[in-house]
Amino acid sequence: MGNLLLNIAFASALLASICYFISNGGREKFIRYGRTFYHIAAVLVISSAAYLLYLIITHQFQVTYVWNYSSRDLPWNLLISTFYAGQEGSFHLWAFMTAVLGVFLLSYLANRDAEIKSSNFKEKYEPLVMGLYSLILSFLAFIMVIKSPYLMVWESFPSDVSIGFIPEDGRGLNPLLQNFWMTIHPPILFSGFTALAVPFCFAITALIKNEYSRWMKLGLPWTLFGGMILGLGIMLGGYWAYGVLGWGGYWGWDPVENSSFVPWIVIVAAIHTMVSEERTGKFKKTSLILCITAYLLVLYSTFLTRSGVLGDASVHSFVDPGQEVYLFLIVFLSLFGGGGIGLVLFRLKSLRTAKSEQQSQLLSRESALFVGAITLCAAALVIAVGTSWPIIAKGTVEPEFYNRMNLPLAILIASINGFSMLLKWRYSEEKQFLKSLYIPLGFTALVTIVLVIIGVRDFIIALLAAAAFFALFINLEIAYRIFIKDKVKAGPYIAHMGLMILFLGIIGSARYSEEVNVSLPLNETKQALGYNMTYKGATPIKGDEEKFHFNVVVEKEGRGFLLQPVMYYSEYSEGVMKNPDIANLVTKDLYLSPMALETPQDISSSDMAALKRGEEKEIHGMKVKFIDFDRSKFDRDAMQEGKDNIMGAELEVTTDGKTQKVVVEQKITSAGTENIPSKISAYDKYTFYLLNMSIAGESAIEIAVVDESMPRTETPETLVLTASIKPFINLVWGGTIIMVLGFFASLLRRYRLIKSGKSSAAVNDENSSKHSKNGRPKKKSHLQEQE
Amino acid sequence: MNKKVIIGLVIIAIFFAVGFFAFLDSKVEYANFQKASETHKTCQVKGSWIKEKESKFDAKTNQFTFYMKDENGQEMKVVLDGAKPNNFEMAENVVAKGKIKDGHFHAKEVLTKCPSKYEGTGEDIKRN
Repeated sequence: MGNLLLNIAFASALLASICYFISNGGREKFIRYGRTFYHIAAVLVISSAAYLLYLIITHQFQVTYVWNYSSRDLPWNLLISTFYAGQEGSFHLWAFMTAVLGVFLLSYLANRDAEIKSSNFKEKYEPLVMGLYSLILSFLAFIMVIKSPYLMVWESFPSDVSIGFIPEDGRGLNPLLQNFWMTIHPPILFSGFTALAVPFCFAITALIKNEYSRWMKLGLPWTLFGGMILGLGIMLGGYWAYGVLGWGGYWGWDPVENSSFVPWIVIVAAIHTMVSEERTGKFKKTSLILCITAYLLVLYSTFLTRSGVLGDASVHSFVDPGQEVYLFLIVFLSLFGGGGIGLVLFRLKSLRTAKSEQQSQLLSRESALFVGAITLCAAALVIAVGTSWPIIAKGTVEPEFYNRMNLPLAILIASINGFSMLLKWRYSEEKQFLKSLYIPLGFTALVTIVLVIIGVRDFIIALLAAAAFFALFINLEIAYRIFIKDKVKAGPYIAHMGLMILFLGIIGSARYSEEVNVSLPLNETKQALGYNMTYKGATPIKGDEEKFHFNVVVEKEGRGFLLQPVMYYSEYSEGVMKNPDIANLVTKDLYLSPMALETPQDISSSDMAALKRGEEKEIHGMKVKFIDFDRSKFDRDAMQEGKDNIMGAELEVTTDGKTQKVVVEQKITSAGTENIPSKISAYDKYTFYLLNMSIAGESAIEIAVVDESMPRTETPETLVLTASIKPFINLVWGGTIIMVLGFFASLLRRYRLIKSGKSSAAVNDENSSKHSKNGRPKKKSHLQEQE
Repeated sequence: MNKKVIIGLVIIAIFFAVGFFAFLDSKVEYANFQKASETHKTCQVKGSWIKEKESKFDAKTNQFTFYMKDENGQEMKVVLDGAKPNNFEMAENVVAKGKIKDGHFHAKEVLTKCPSKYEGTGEDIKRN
């Protein structure tokens, strides 16, 4: 049934696309067909998602996907998130988001087109935009047709299980994914990916129509939406990595992180050139190219992270999706890429800016925005090249590369942002501009001097901090003035402030973090990073008895608190999983990342020795030589049946000139190994144990020679931690939230303007002409310009 | 050509030059142990963990030591700065990034690769 839904969804999305393209020729009724088919496709994709979710919730383990990623013991929120734990499901999530967003896009376009009074079909945007968008949906549906999440276990493993086989339970969800962030990060990120399809469709439509005034006004709110949601999704991923996965930081320049970050940078650059274009009519080409590139980069990122080409370069594990999907992704990418670039080249002539408008002053807002956009693209390029390097050549790039390259670019971005706010559109008077710089520069100098005194001694870091404070101050001043009049109009300035706060947070938490390793013996207080830390033992977590809290009491100047990093053995991963715990102390985070738990050992390391065959070593004054393995009690058949077995190793022990032979043995059972004590008759003070052996390759053993009469020096249980201080990391999260709010305010304002049928430029032109008539003071019109 | 374009071109040229050198500096090549011992640069070696040989975490130095076999079958001791990586036991392959020092491979980072484990196999399903 699921496959049927997907197949029909694919077909109707394709039909919707075709109908829309036909309708563009002027046949009105095909628009209605297009709409109907699109809605059918959307409903089917949504139903298929609901059906898959139903299969997961009702534990239909005969479906391979359900069996592979979920199990009966998962709580409901994680059960839902297993929907996108695998390849097939995450493609489905993407298609689902695309289908839903398209419904809103369709009604938005239909309303906008209905507002146009002329019946000229050429001006309608719905046919082409929706035609392209439906095509994208059909492509995503097609991926699911070839890589279906609805395969039954007997179809996946025909030689292993018979038709109708229903597994008792599923394999479960990877413990790394078992947390709250898994439930919200992927859907938001995929919404961002989906949203970038809209500006792409608008840009392509404009190129096909060869008409470049409306696309940008209609597309801008969607571009803002894409920037907002993708930015949020990326940072949620960062928080997940920091707070739960214990990577120690929120950003590691990993290919998966980079490949969603690059489209975001490009779409942010596009927002800025679109705003300039709206005001001045310049940068048409740039806006179009950026909007197209952003979505191509989304597709490219999918290709990079899904095709397995980056297999060895990332901490994220990649599954090879199979040849068909790999090929199809290439087709998808090259079709849209080739089409987009081809169209830009084809329209190059008509995209030239008219001569009269070409002369833009260096000291103008649009020039500054353009340079800013170029700088953003440079950052995107650096990251894209670094990320793609494993495909170009055999090798990867160190994270340090990104830091070094992006630091100067960030300084440029912050300063350009500050300057541009003081510049007017089209033309600024040099004197006036310089004058307006006095206060912000004075403030910046003051703050920077304070920072240097406090301890910021790194020149380039101080420069970035100065640039960020400069831009923050200017944006704050403008935002405040606008905010008291009209809250939503302050959107861009709020977003800029958020970014600058984020920059400051990055400086603090990345450049000035301190890290130290601590070993905490049970109940013994140790000092680290100025804190007294005491390990108080482990307690099982309520409701999840297999996991343990490792209780660490942290105390400083009489104030104490409890931190509980987590470690547990995961059967799924066959290893120990570790989660950090964080104390958020307003100006900094104290981050405790568990490394290991040292348990008291029976045998101290001075009693142990590793021997190769024929090798002789001295232990406790005795010469011990490893002769060979003793297989006399070993039975291969018994071992294959899983029965107990004994392996031995023959040793030659020389004490006081006497040489004796002894066989040390290890019992191998299905539960593990057991060391059998052996003694030599002449010298029975010592007991010999066989601890380990390596039969494959070079024969080697590990033995222990223990004096049982000696009192054991008990080492207490010791918790090993990496403790670190992350100064001002709250600014990273706070800055992100402020930036997202800024995006949201801008989006709201743009949407309202479009609904009221006016572009912001028109509104502003109206106002400024009114003011000049009234002979208002210059200061006021300056403010208007800034909006 | 006007002044703006020239300034722009100069900035772009500087940017590319800086980028190129930074890039050469931070490039990490894939290698095997043989190649890694010949160069003194950081490189990346793919291989598998030798489970039979000892592996241990030293709390004092905060280093995890294990033995690894590269794709040519050459074995080497690897000392990692840090604890045993997540999913180490289930990894089919490990990728160690670092350089050879004092006869062992000193790794700054070890990635674990366990793609097939994320998807069940015919063997897994038979156990049900």
